[in-house]
Amino acid sequence: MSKRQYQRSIPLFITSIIGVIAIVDYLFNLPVLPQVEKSVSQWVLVISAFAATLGATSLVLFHLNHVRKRTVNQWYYSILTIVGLLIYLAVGLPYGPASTIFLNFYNAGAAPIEATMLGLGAFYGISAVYRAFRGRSTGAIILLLCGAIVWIYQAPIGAVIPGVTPSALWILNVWTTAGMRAVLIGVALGTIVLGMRTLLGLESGYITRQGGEE
Amino acid sequence: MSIIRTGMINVTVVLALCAFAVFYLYRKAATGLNISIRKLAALEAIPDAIGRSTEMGKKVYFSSGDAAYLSGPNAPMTLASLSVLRYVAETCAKYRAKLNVVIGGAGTSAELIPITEDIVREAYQTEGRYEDYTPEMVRFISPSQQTFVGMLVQEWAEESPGAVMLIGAWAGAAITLVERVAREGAIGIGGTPRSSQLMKMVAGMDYCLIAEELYAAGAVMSGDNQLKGSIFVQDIGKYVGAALLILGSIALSLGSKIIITLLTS
Repeated sequence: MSKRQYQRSIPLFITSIIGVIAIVDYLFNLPVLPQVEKSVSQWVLVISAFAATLGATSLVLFHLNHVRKRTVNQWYYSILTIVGLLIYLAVGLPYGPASTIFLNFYNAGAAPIEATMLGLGAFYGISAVYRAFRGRSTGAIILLLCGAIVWIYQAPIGAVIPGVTPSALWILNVWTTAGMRAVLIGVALGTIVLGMRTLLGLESGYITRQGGEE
Repeated sequence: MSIIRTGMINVTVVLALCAFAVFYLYRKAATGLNISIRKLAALEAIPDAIGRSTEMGKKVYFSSGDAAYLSGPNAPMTLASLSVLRYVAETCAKYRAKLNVVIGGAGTSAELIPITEDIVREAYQTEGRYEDYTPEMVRFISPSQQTFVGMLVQEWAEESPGAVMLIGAWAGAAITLVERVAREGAIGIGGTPRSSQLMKMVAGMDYCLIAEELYAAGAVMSGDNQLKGSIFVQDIGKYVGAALLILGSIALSLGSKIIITLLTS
């Protein structure tokens, strides 16, 4: 077997074995499997910890590159990012992420900034609704009407306008639920088939392609 | 104590049947069964979007999502998006487009970095454009969802992208990014099986892989007839599901709960 074939076969084999262990433990009462599955879950946590370190390193190198090149409109934000990372590292490492001082830093710094960005999403949502609700065709007009009814229902005034609440509930409980369930069934089937393809070693889009001899 | 866990008999039977069906159709396709799959508009649009970006000298962005994990319920979506990424990277290499793959938004999304780098590097090697590949093509932004959104919004506001592909496991970042893509006038190609975000993608993006189309995308793009055979299992499952729905409705109307008992035992 060539190096290329090893590069392809070993990851497929590991994926299949770990996946089969997880599924068999989920479905069957076999004595030794819960311990094996627990060990595998702990390995996943360890890999995630290494991945977090890799992510932080990648982030720092990316921003250091911008600082070095003095990228226009970027390099000062990169300095800010690196300084922020170092501050949280300096506080988190000795005191721990659950300590009062670290939580104070987080609540004073990162949390309000994240909340601000989350608030921005509301305006983007309204803009998206405005763009989507245009009656250019019959289907779009029906969408517009249904959306308007449900929108008014969600507002306090919807309880006062006659006919809005039963109409909105009918749209939500019958049509929307039916559509969403159909999507969920399709997604579930797709997930199962992709999972089976991965466990049987047939799906290899995530690893190196079969290249034959080098 | 039985070998099969309580309440798992029907699940075991369904999974066993699916595994058998996938394997059977995979082998059957190898011996001549020709499977044709309808064209997926979103996949057909990828080369056009990348070509347009190259002509305009603009960047192409790809992201697997702000809920892209390699473990847990989002793992299949993430794996499927990596298959699409391979195709996107190969097309970018062919057209010499500037590709940016951005990772972030999920707590453990950093684990995607080595796999993504490998896929992009190999794609450029396959197309004979290894000299165009740079490690900076794959970037980890942040495990925080809002930082991920903020960074991309700022970047796209400063240098409008030509094409943006948001394909994979998406959570709350979808609405902001989809709308930003539309405002920048970039070609937006989306796709997620997550029903809570799917409607936002369909409403805002120019093209969208709807629900299970993402799972079929990898097989479709590979051109492998055997992999297409496994997609047929999804359709068979839907026919069986529809039949059970109709039979169950008729049985319940006649006062019998046999189908419900069969499915919930």
